Amino acid sequence: MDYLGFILQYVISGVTVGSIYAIVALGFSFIFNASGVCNFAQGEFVMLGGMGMIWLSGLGVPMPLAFLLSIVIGVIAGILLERGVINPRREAGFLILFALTLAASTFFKGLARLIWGVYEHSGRVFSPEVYQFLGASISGHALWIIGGSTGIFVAIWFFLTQTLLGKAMRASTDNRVGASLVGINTQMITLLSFAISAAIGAIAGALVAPITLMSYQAGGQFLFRGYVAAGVGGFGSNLGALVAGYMLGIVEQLSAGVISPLFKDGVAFALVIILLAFKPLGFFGKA
Amino acid sequence: MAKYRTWIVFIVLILFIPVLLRTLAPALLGRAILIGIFTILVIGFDLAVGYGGQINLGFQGFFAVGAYTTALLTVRKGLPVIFSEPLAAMLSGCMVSVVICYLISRPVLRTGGFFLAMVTLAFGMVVYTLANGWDFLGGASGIIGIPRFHIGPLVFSTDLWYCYAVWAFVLFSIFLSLRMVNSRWGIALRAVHSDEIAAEVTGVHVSKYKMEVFLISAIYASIAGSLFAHHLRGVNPPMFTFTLLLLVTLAIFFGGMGTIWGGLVGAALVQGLPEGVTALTSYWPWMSNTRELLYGIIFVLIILFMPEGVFGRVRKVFMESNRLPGKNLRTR
Repeated sequence: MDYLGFILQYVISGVTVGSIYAIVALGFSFIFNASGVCNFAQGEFVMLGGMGMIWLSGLGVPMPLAFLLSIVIGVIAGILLERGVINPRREAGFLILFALTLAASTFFKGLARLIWGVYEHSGRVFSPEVYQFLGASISGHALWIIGGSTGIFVAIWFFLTQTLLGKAMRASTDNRVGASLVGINTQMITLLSFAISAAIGAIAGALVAPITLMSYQAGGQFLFRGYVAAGVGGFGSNLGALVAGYMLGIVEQLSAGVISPLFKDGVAFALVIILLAFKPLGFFGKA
Repeated sequence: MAKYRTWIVFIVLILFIPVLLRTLAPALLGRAILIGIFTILVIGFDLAVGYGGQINLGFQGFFAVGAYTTALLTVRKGLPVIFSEPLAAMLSGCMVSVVICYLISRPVLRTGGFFLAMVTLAFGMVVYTLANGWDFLGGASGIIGIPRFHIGPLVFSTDLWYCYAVWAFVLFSIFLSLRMVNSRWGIALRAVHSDEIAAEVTGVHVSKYKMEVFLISAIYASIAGSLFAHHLRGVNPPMFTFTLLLLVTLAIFFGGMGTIWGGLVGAALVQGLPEGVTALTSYWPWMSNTRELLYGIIFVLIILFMPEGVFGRVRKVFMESNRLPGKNLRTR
């Protein structure tokens, strides 16, 4: 394989994992936009979706149905989180809400460990074909993942700008009191944002399950990358989250290929620190 | 005398509990050392988070910096002998932590909690990756062969003596923290926490205070890390994951945010819990899989129903008078 193909191969796998980070980042900033909560349990939605997918398809449930059911598992977790933990302390500050979501993530982790044990599992790919592209190869499953990230991005854009419910959500982000005065049920909006965001997270988990190892403690790595991607993109910008997610994945894979697999996490995160030193509000962030 | 009662009780407890443990349950002596080290870590976190309101998600990274600096300086040969002295190594760790902390947090300190949290999170990941991948730092197997803690020729050769050494550090750090938070500096810091704009208008240099408390908390973490390295006589990357930060956060909520003594209570509870679970596991083996679940449930319940923490609640119920140091603000 020539050098260009070699680089292209890493870029393709970078975009593939980057798509997962982008989806997690979209879910993360979805809650953040709608309710101002920095949700540290987002990674657990990914983990639950992934473990659910592996578990269900292992039981012999057909793939599409398993996919839907694992999203349902994620949504249940999201509703549980909002009703059980966030809603009672809705008016608390950033720190308390951060600690609450952290506590909830520990709870979900413990629950998953109790149900599925401590071992790592891996799922089945959606489609086994492999395509050749300019000397690099791309698997059918990677296309599913990349398509999933753009699909979710478009769906979120459509929901927030073209539907009444989405507009209501944006209104209550902009001004909670004002929104409730014009008859928007802001409590319902918060609950909805958690449910949707959990669904997004679970989709990411179900998509990534075949190409990585899933275990009860796999949520953290997705959370960190999603959080960083959401932040580098400038909290609140969906396009920023998408682009930053792709870039994070590409940097990670390229540094794994060019420098050393041992340093692949380090390089990406070090770049984030340097980047924020020069652009403290992220790429698309507004003061 | 009444003013010093708490201190006297505390010092007497520190003197007697290790001896008691050595005769009754020698296995728990190591746990007592861990509680001491963890207390320093939690108090440092409490200064930044509870008093300063600055979230530091890379706190375990500074703990690692302290531990690794101590490990490198005391184990690797070729440096002047003075550097392999544990106290000198500890001091070097503090300096490295302060420099790193300044460099990474200076640009984002003004932009608010989310970006500070993100940069520190990234820092924690970078530290872990470096520790794991860089041969100079021992790679995945870490560095072993760290000598026992000693000051010149005075070697703390048993766990009992090391326990005393660690708790001397704990005593000192509690004393120092209480002096800090009750001084003018501490009052200004609390003003920054409760309302930055109001503090700025009153003439408090907000970003200076944020920076200072951040650096001080990094120093605490670094010292705890050095002590930890001497305790286990070796360091390796899995000790410094995000789980550690989770436990520290759990501990400040257990003990009570913004209460220095609460750090001690929280650290003791969090470090005692695994011991309890292990004890229960010998009766019910299935309990071994429930540790995260238990942490999660307790954590949620504490924040929901007792946000002021165990120590805060106790203080509210029992201590109407000024019996505990640090209860009232002393104004000069």
